[in-house]
Parts: sequence; structure tokens; C-alpha cells
Amino acid sequence: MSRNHKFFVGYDDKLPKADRRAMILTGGASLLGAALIGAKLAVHQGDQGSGNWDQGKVFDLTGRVELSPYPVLRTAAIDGHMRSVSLVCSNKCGVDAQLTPYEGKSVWVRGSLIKRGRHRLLAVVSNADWIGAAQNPVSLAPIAEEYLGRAALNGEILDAKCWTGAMRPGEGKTHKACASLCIRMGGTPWFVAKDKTGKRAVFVLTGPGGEAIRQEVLTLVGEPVRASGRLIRRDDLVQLRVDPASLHAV
Amino acid sequence: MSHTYQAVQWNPFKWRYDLVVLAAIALFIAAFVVLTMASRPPGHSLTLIQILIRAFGASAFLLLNVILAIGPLARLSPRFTPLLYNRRHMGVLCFLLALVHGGLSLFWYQGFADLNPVVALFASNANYTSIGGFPFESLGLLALILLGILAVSSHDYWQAALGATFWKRLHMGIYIAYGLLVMHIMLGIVQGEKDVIYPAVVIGAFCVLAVLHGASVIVGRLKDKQASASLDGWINIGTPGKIRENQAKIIKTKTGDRIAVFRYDGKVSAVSNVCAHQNGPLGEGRIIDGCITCPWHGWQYRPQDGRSPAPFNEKIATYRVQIDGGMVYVHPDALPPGTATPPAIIKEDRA
Repeated sequence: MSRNHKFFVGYDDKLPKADRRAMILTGGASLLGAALIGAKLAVHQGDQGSGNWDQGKVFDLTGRVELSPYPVLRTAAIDGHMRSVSLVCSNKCGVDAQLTPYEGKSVWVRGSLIKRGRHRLLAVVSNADWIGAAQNPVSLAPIAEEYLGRAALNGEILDAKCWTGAMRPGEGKTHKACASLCIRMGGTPWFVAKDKTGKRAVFVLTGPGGEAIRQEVLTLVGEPVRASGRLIRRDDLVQLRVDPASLHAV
Repeated sequence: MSHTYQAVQWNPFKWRYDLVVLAAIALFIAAFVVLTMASRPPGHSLTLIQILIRAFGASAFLLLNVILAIGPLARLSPRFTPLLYNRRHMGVLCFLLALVHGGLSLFWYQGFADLNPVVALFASNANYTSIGGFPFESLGLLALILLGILAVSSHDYWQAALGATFWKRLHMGIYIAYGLLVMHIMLGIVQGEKDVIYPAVVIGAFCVLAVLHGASVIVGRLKDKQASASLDGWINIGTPGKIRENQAKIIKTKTGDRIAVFRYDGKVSAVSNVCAHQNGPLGEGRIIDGCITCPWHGWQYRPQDGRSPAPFNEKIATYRVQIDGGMVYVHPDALPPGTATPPAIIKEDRA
């Protein structure tokens, strides 16, 4: 085949000059554009919060088990102050069944800490014995419960473990299916309200009588939701007690 | 040039083409990952796997926009025609990027539970009547399946096995995949991220594609209109001088068929404008070494009978041509593919 024509065909190994110039420009623009667009999309993503889960640091924590509405370990072993550390599964599952024999008892629990702000969760190890009776009873004050009033809040129902640090982001539309699966499988639903300045307030979401609700809220997980109910402080956690039927997307 | 099944061969240009595409994708992903991590305080960024999910998803979508822009760009300017050559490689790459995005998403968001991740995907959210809660993942999965079908069938083997017409129709499904992906993004990440840049990029890319496609259609129709005058059933396409040597003028018949009228060696011949390989526009090609050469992949046909030279056996329809009163006339009724028909002789040019 002659090479002096100014028409490029696929099996030819040389582009005509004009085509070569156009291709060099197009290639250069593609490389530059790809880097710039990638950078631009990256820096405009929202802040994902300060949640952290150090899975490499496994330790034993002693305290008392409370199962209602969701499993917590009441303990002063972290920093000397009484804390309610939510007990969660390392995977997408619940730990209620394994904890039932220990309800109200002093125990040690083995796991890794998930923390965000003042919130603490303990993800129990899944491949070994992770709970047992404590050698000495843990002395703690009785649960302090206080009625704080009624509230109507806009926020999002999410899975406590995901939001606290297992996932980043652990909220919003892209995380909806994950949070829904976690809660379906036994996770703890929290309600995170956000005001106009972006400041968040975290509540443990329960039924009207302070009971656990999971299946009832699945369809609304990960969406902007309006929730009205009573606020009850139990130790260092605040519950938002709602009638699940009154929850609605906004 | 063509054969019953003939893979388009590699050459230095194609290697460079693919290298630039791979480098652009690598640059995009690297820039996205590094700047996502670097632009926030430690501990405030996404987890690495979630960064990768976004990087691969975004790169797949942007690459699909590039793929869809090449066709109209090539119609608007022949300078972009070389981009058509490895477009199929880009399509396969797009599928692979989307597959990594989908696989990581399924593993990360639907894994770690005593439930099949695919079952979990559909069980986790069934709010199909809600815009705010719509399970956008299902749209992405449908698009991924479609992209997979197109990627697998993009090889010349399937084009030959399925036939050019069916293959082309099948691959128009890329527009359905594109629509599904736009909805996947608008009902997913755009609802999750508040910055205006995300909807702006999606809508902007959609508008650019719409304008390019619209412009290529308009330009095509304008060209068709110029050749619409006819006489006694024969279409008058003007003097031979209106056709450049070794090139063609494309006309559209009343039935919608496009005819490529070539001028070469003091003669004029007319053939179907549709290449038997991938329906490429033969009239935008040239006559090289005595054969009409398709601008898309270089398949060749003799202008006198629409047949590929031996040993190849592809055929395209031919049309009768005559020159009367210094004007070139083409009869709009197609002759069976491969039918020899005498070219019209340009007497004036030889004088």
C-alpha cells in the first residue's frame, strides 16, 4: 500500500501529519484533563467525620452487660468515668443472643474499640471466646434515667457501628443499603440529627417504651427523616423514643 | 480489507492509543485517591476501599462519555476519525472499571453478613417508589450487566457471527447503559455529596454528548439535503467536479438509504455507504490502491462491483451511474451486493 495518501486507515502504521497533530493534542488534553478532573472531584467531597476503628488493637474490657434496648457494656475501665460502650459484632450481625446469659452480670469482653467524638463501641472479636464472667464483680452506680422532654428532629437513621468509624462515609445515600443490612442483621440504630450549621446530635433510636426497633425502621434508614418523640437520658446515652409509624421521610 | 473473520491487527499507533488511554485512567485514579486522602485531616477521609469504589466508578462513567463522544466528533471532523480505531478497547476498559467498582461495592457494602451479597443488595432497600430512597445500586447493576454483554460481544468474532446489522443494533444498547448510569449517579452519589460539582459534571457531560450528537445529525441532514434533487427517478448529484478525486459524495435516497458516489481515475461509481464490517461510513473513506477504503477499520471494496479483493469475500450493494449533460446521475435502486456495474466515464476531465 502506498504511504503518501493523507488518509488514515486502521492497519496503517503511520498517521498523516494533520491527524498526528490532532491525536497528540487530543492525547495530551486527555492526560491533563483526567488528572485535573480526578483532582477536582476528589477535593470537593464532603468531610467524612473523625470516626476510627483500630482493628489491630484488641483488648479486654470489664463492666456490666445491659441488653435493653441494645447491648451495652457499662464500664468505668476506659477513662475512669462511667461510660455506656455499645457492644457490636465485628461483621454485619448482632450479639444479643450471645450476651443474653450475661445480662446484668459483670463480665470481661474482648474486642477492638470504635470511636467517634465521645461515642465508644466495642466490636467483639468473632474468631475466639470473647466474653466471660469477670473475676471480681464490677461496682457501678444504678442506671440514671432522666426525662428531657419532647423533640421533633430532622436527621438520619443509621447504623451505630458504621457511623462511628466502621465505614467512612457511614451515612448518606451511598451508605443506605449497608446501614439497612447492618440493622436488619442485628446492628444498633442511631438517629443523628444535624442542624443548619452541620452540628450533629446523636440519639439511640427506640420504640415508645424504650424497646429495640430494627425491622420497623429499615425502609427509612439512610434517608432524611423527621422523627418526633420523647428524649430520655440513660447514663451517658440519650434515647429518642418514637412510634415507628410516625417516622417519615422529608 | 476484510475476510469472513479477520481480526484488526495491532500497529504502533494502536499501542500508543491504548497506552494513552491507560495512562489517563491511571492518572485520574491516582489524582482522585491521593487528593481525597491529602485534602482532609488524618482520620477524616474516606476509607481506602471507599475511595477506590468512587475512583473506579467515576473513571468508568467519564470514560463512557468519551467513548460516546468519539462517534459524533468523527462525523463532525475527520481529524477525530483515528479515535474510532480502539474505541472497542475503551469499551472493554470501561466495563472492567465498572466491574471493579461494582465488585468492591458489593463486597464492602453487602458483604460480611450471613446473607448472599446479591440477595442482600436487593433485600436491603426496595424503595422503588421513592426518589430520595431509590435503590440506585440496582440501576448500576443493570448497566454493568449491559456493559458486560457489550464488552464480551465487542470482538470481531461476534460481529461476524451475529451479522453486522444485529451486532450494531445490540451495541446501540450502550445508550441504555449510559442512561442507567446517569440515573445511578444522580440517585446515588449526587444525593450523598452536597457539592454542586457532582451534578454539574454529570449534567454537563450529558449536555455535551447531546449537543455533539445533535450537531452530527444536523450536519448529516444538511449534507443529505444538498443531494436531494432528482430527475426521472435518477438522482442528480451535480458535476463530477463536485466530487474530489479518490473521494466520495454521500447522498440519501427517499427511502433513507445512503449512497457513496466515488470519483477515481476519470470514472464515477456508486456503492452503499454502509461498510459490511461495522456499518462504517464508506463515503467518508478514500480510494486507496484502487479500492474504496472504510475510514473506520480499513475494510476495502472495489468500486465497480462492491466486492472485497481476493482472498476476501465481503460484498456491498452497488448502484447504476450515468453522466448526462455534464451531470452525474445515480439510480436510487440498490443492486444486489457484489453486482458489477460499469462506472460512468468523465469525458470532460480527460480532455
